[in-house]
Amino acid sequence: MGKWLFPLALGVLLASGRAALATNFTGEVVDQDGHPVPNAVVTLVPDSKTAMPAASTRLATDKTIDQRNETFLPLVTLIPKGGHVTFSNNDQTTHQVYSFSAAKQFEITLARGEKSQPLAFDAPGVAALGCNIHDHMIAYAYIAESPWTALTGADGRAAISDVPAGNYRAVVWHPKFPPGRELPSLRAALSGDSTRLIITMKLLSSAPTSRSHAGSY
Amino acid sequence: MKPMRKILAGLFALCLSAPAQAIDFHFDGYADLRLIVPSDQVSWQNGQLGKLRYGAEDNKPELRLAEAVGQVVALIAPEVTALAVARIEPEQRTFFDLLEAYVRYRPVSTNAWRWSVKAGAFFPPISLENTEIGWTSPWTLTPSAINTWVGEELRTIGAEGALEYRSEARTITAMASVYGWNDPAGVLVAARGWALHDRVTGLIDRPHLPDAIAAAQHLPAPLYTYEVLEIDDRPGMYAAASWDEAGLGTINVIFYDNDADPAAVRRKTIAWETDFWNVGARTQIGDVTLLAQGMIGNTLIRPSKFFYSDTHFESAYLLAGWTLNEDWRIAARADVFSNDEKRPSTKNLSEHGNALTLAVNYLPYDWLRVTAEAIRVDSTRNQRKQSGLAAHAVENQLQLSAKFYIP
Repeated sequence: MGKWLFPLALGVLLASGRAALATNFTGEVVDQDGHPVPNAVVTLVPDSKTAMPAASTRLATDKTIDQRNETFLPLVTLIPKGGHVTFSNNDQTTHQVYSFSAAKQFEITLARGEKSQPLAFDAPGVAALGCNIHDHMIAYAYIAESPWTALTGADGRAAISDVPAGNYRAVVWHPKFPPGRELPSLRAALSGDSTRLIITMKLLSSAPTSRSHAGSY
Repeated sequence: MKPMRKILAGLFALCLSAPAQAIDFHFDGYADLRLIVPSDQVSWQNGQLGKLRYGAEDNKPELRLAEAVGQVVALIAPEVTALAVARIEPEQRTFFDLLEAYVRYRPVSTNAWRWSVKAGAFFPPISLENTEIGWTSPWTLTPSAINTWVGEELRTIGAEGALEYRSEARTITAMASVYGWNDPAGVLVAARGWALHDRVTGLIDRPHLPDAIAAAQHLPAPLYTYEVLEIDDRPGMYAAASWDEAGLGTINVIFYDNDADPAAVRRKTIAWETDFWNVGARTQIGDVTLLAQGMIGNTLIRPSKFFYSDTHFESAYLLAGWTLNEDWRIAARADVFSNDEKRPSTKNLSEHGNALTLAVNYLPYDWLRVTAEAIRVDSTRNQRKQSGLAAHAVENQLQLSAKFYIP
């Protein structure tokens, strides 16, 4: 394979003038109806992980999750393995943030206006976050092992730049993907200037949101 | 009534005893103005056998305040929440009444299991419709026959424990409760029959019994019944479970038994030995929410050697709710109900009937909900003959409601 990869990479290098063997990847996530899926995490897992740098070499290691109007913002936070999250309560009420997920188990009580100490997330996976006081509050921390990981925007696209050429699996996660099933993935042989893949995910139907005036706790 | 007052006073004292500055208070509420085109049957609220909230005693059409409700939630500690719901309603006995008042203790858990306990006065976990402030429904003004009855006659005044098992895919909850002061429950569903209205009974309210009941007992009308009263000094219980599966929906089941002594009488109020099963299911298909409940139960009184009344009651409904967008919700519901009463005379109180409800909700702002609702109830009840009416009646009611919420 190396025989033809080198001239190909050279061609890319000559054509783009970019650093050797680096390419750009765009994952486009659509649901079963063809609609773009925001808040999906696209991660490139190389066939050989031996040379994979730590996720923290490329992803921001310190993130903040706000609580505003009894809502966690953002819905999905991407952090590298070993990264930290600060919880910031901007509401006029107390929140008791917790997770019982295998990836991270913790609880923090935050009075109104209070900020937590940065909390380390050392194991890869997904931590579902809740508030023990306000059951409707939910958010997710995606703790990435691969440095080539990104979150989709409103257009359903996640752009990952400067990925070494090679063979990968592009894996997608979303909060509305049925739990317990294998995550959708596609083979991604990255070469040339850029690669774009469309990945379809069958998501659980969720209740459309409408104005509500919830009663009893 | 006295023990209940003590409980309420205790809850209030508990709220006051916590350091005031540390407590988060959260206020919610609404005022509900209605334009009504009532049915041509006199409502049960006025002693007749009309099954709706408004009837021939009202002007046609009439503009009125249906109710104003205020809810306060106090976060006494992160794991201790107290809640009280008060209501102003023109027909109730007192200017203010309470619908619920309770304290919940729920320690945070960082594993799959979480437990909690509630104490005070609250609704048992039966209704899938009444999820909003003041025990109202996001779908219709008028709840189903089943949940109308729950709102009229059932209130847990006691304690309820819950144990949840949570995973990524599902939450399974088991609940059990011991309570008192619920011995009259059953009198309305048996002596008046099923009804469809959103006039929940407050904790100090006393619903109107049919004047036909007064006449049959040679007593002067109107007769009112207690709903919150301990008659036999024997607690009731229920056990319930729910299963919520991600992407599929929720089912719940409850077995309720007030374990009343059917021979006991206090304050001229008979204890109704009432037990029932209720099963409910909720699922989501695209923009459409489907709710269904079925209830089957029995209520018995035997106040003397010579008289008993044994009523088997059952009802079910299916509701389809369509959420168009943030501002619009449309709902349609079909109800069926029946009672089979046995007593040592021919004047039995059996009935059967059905109802169709259609509601359109418009919520242009967080502070405003406008609902138009049409309801048609078709029922046959022999008791109507005792009031000189035909046993069969069709009632139609139109309501246009504007609910103004505390923003």
